[in-house]
Amino acid sequence: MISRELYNAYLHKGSLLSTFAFFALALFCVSLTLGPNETLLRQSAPGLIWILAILTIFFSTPLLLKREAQCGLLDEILLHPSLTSTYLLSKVMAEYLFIALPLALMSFFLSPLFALSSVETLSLLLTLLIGFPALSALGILGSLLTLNTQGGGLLLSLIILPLTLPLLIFGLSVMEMTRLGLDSFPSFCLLMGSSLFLLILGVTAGCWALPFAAER
Amino acid sequence: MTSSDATFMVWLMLDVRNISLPSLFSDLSFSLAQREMLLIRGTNGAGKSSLLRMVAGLIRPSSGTLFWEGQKIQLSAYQQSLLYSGHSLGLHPEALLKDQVNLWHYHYRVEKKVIEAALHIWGIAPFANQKIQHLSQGQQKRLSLSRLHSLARPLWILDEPHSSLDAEGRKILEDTLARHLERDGLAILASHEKQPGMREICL
Repeated sequence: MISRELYNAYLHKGSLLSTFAFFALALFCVSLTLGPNETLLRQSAPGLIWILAILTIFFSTPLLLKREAQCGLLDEILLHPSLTSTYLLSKVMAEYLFIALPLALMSFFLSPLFALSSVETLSLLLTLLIGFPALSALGILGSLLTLNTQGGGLLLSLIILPLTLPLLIFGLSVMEMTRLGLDSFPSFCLLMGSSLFLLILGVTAGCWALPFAAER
Repeated sequence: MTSSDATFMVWLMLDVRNISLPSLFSDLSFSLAQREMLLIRGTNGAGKSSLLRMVAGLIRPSSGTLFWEGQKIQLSAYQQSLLYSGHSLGLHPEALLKDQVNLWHYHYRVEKKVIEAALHIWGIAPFANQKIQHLSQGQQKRLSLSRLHSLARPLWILDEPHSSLDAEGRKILEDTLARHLERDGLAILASHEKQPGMREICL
């Protein structure tokens, strides 16, 4: 199932390019909007990059999953002997490799736009890499919950977006501690804990939601 | 020889008892034994596809039970005995035909040469380097139905398998179905057209 999902994500490469283009353009536009004030750029960068990363995941995942459902690929998954949780974890892994990792690397390489120091950049990269599995799992859960609804994007924002708050809070806390030169280890631990909890929550709830998503 | 050349040695039977789906049908019962084919016929919106999805275990009936081999179905084991081909063809939207072969190889754990042999039978092997979305509806249908040759499953559940197929495609399908029944298989088809000489249920 893992190899199937990795290959499946690879086949979406055309759609993924537009996802990456959206993220890069949004980052570029935001940095232009903030102007040349380095202090303002450095202070705003972590929050803006995190919010853009969340929005990018929550825009791209439902689109990909909806296309798969329309083509009957979700039916094939439900008829497969593997556990639903194996499928969802494989999907999270595939999203991590094909969406999250490139987004994190793009944040890393575009960080000079926000005048971030090398320590801050590394810290940002690390927080994103820790947070993305949970974001992917929540994105998949939200997509499954809103697959057969009209205005799914709005519902997704209302249902799933609040769940990302712990990631955002602890991720930004790590960045703030790093910026001020304080010990960021406790915040890192809280970020990892909340990411693990939300990953488990997303996959468990996704297992329940998948059969309902396929009933149409 | 393809995977579907296998003969199913045990006695298999599907028994559907009193299943209902609100506003479509209620208390519907039928059974199907080896070497039997059943046509579900009805007008558009009569519930043919929903019934097939229900028999495949993709929709839970509001009441009633399905039995397979005399036992109440255990979903994951039962679904390993069936091949479902629905309205949506189960083809990756952005893939080349050869990519779809790879995807099936990973998904079904079937050797690529078995899948490629099935593509030859259905006459679509020459399009290996074409994007699936650029193939015609009939070619996409042939590709989807080629799984009938590459997967050895006793129960086939096919939703409007004849649609979009040309005369040659229909001939291949008829031959495939006849051979499946000869090899002790079972098949349920949905169609809004009458199929000559086939046992049917009208919705």
